[in-house]
Parts: sequence; C-alpha cells; structure tokens
Amino acid sequence: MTIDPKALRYAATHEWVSVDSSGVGTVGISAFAVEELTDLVFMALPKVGVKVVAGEEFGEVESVKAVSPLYSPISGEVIEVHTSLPDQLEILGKDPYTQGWIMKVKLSSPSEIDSLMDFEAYQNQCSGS
Amino acid sequence: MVDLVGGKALVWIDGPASGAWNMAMDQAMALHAAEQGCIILRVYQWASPTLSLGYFQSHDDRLTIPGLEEIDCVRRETGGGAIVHDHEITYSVAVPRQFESSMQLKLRNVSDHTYTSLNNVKKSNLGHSGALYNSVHDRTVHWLTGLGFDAKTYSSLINTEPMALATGGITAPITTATSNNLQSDGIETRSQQVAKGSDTNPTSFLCFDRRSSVDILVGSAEKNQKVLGSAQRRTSGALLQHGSLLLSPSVAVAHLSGLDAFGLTESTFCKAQTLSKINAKKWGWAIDFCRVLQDSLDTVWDCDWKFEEQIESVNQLAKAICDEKFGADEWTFRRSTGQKSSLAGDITYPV
Repeated sequence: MTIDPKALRYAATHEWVSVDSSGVGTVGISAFAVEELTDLVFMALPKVGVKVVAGEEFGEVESVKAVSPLYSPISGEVIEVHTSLPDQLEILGKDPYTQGWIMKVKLSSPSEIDSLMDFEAYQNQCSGS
Repeated sequence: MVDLVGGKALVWIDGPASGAWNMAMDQAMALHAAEQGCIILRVYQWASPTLSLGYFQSHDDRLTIPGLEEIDCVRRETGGGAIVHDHEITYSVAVPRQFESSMQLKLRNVSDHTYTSLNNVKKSNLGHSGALYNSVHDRTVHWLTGLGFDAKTYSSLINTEPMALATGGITAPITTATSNNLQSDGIETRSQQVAKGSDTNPTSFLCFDRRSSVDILVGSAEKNQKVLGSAQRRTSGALLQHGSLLLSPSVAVAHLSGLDAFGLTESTFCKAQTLSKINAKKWGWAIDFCRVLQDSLDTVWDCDWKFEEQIESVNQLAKAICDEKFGADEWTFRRSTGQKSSLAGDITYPV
C-alpha cells in the first residue's frame, strides 16, 4: 500500500501518522525532517508493547553531529515496529512515507488526530509562513 | 551555593569529577536551561582517565584498543566516537530551544567572519546546529592561533569549501534527500565527503581518530592532530553541546598527543613533575578556555554572565540523574556489538 503524504496528519515535531479503519496508526517522519536531519546514522526504536504518549519521546536518531529525539504524534500501544529500518536508513531518504514507516500504534485516544496538522498546514510550517 | 532563578547566562568552572557525574551534570544543565530560559556554560575536568562512549556505540568495541578496558567507562548522551578523557579541558553549553532562532538571525549579520557560510541557515531546529558549532570552534581557532599554534578547522585544512564529515561508528547510509544538497551551515553531508575522497577514518572507534568539518586540528596537512571535537544532543527544550580540548596524551591512547605535540612547552602536563603542577596548569587552561567560550557565545547573544560556584537545584538534579542513569551499568553497557538497531524503551531514564 502506498501512502499519500497529502492524506497524512503531521505533528509540529515533523512526525506523520496515517490511521486505518481499525484504529491503528502508522507513524513515520516527514521528508522535510529527513532532509533537515542530514545523513542518518543510527536509529533507536521502541519495543512492541510499549505505551507511547502523544508529544513524548518514542525513539532517537543520530544524524550529522547530533542525537535527536523522535516524538510520538499519538498515544497508544506499539503493536509493530519496523525493526529492519535502522539497518537500512537510506530508505527514509527514498520513501519516508511508505517503506520508511517506523511503528504502528493501537490508538488509545483517536481524537488526538484532530489536533494534528493536515498536509497544507504542515507545509506552511515548514516554509515558515 | 546559590539557587538562581531567571538569569540570562550562567558560567562556572568545575574541578575534576567522575564520568558519571560529568555526564549527569551536562544533562542537568540542559534541563535547567530549558526550564529557566538561560544559557549555561560549564568548563570541567575528569577525576581519572575515563572512556566516554558515543550514545550508539557498543561497549564491547572498547576491547579492540589495548588498555581501554582498564579505565573507567561512561556512556554519553551525545553521539560520535569514544573519547579518552584525561589531560584535557572539557566544556558544555546548554542553549534553550527558543534562543536558537535569534542565534541564526544574528549570525546572518556577521559579515567579517567565516559565518558568511551561514547565510542560508537551516530551516528548522531539527538535528545539529551548525551555527553553535561554528561559533564555538571558530573562536577557539582564533584563540589557539593567537597562542602560536597552527590551528584550523578540518574543512579549511583540506579545502576552502566546507568539507567532509566522518560521523558514524558504522558506514553511514546516505539519504537521497540530502545527498543532492549542500549543507548550508558549513557542515557537509556524508555523500560529499565520499565524493571528495576525504573520508578520514569514519569508522574509527575513537572520536579523535575521526575528522569532521568543524573539528579543530593543529599542524600541517601532512602532520596534524585533532585537538578539539564536539557533539550535540537535542532535548525537547534545549540544545546541549559539549566538547574536549586535548592538551596532552593519555597513557591509554598515547598516539593522540593533542596540543602537547605542537609547542605546548609552557604547559606540558606529561613532563610536569608533580601532580600539583599538572593540576595548576590545567586550571590555567580551563580559565582561559572558559573566557574564549564566553566570547564565542557573546558574539551571538551579548550574554549577561553570572559566575556561579554551584547551583543547588542543578546539583540535586545531577545527583538524581547520576544515580539513576550515568552511574548505572544498565546505561553504560546497554549496547553491545551487533546491536546497531537496538531498541529504546526498555529502560526508562530521566530526560
């Protein structure tokens, strides 16, 4: 399944989420974030079963000369993790929205999605307008 | 002890301490900077030779270098290669997140400096801050040059253009999104490094065997030593940068000679005859380096410095972090060889 970035919701911290009909959210980081982070080297991801909270850290990434946190855009339980992603981070540069997904979360508060930005609002944030 | 509320910029120089305490204090500074909205600068030393591992490094890999297993070990919050902290002066600076935009704007207006490379600054607070790296490192080059050292950044040693970056403990993947774009802040992408054939030991275990564009080297293109390397860590409210100014070689890694090999005749630590002489000279360097760092930050923020011996609230925070995190084996030995993709979330640490 191909994920259309225009159909996603975005956090101000540059993570995206796509929610399916069963209430599972797929989470990743935007192409803008991948470009700004520059040359990803390492990534640490959560374990399946961990509870994540919207706005709080769920993982970390080391890029050029800096380690940065990744923030969950939604709350819930991690039910699947893209465990091979840290070994092939180049995927994030090629396809951050489909092959580059990071984790899947069973949402505990589906209404949180409403507080996230749509594609247009996120684009405006990235352009500084 | 002073409990400060709302000061704009704090600075202090610490005496030698353990690796766990030093790393805990750096993290406490970042938390305090974010909470109080003030810049914090600290210059410090190490109580004994200590190996600090980069955040994602395997502790097993220290066994590849003879002698490192015997010295104290701590894991940093920052990435990059491992450092043997011994005869060096270490600094850390914590900058509240909201201060970064003013840093970038101000640096745009500095015309008579290498900051001209920053005219096109990064668009976000994601990842590294080239502006903070350059601010500290350029001023340090100026200071060392004034002392008679042939000091320069790695980028200027190799090329007049922004230069290569060797980051990873592994062969770093190249993201397509970045490989076609020059970094606008003087820090080049790994792909540019590969393209120029200037990849210098990117997989070396030790930070001071690696080279990145902002590293400070002393000596010629043919014979040089890295003497200052820094790393950054982002938190939700602040940016932490810390780095090591290498003065003299440690017995644990004698090939990394630091400034000592390039005319540090008045402050040759290894030739000093008594411990008190060594310590006295370290304090002298610490005081001078601290002034340089203050100058570099003044360039950006015109800091209203408050000199503190200790801040009780930061001390208490550091003690808790030291006990729970940096002093715990679960933290130090959390990644072993082959755990490149190790998962977060298995241990909860204060952040």
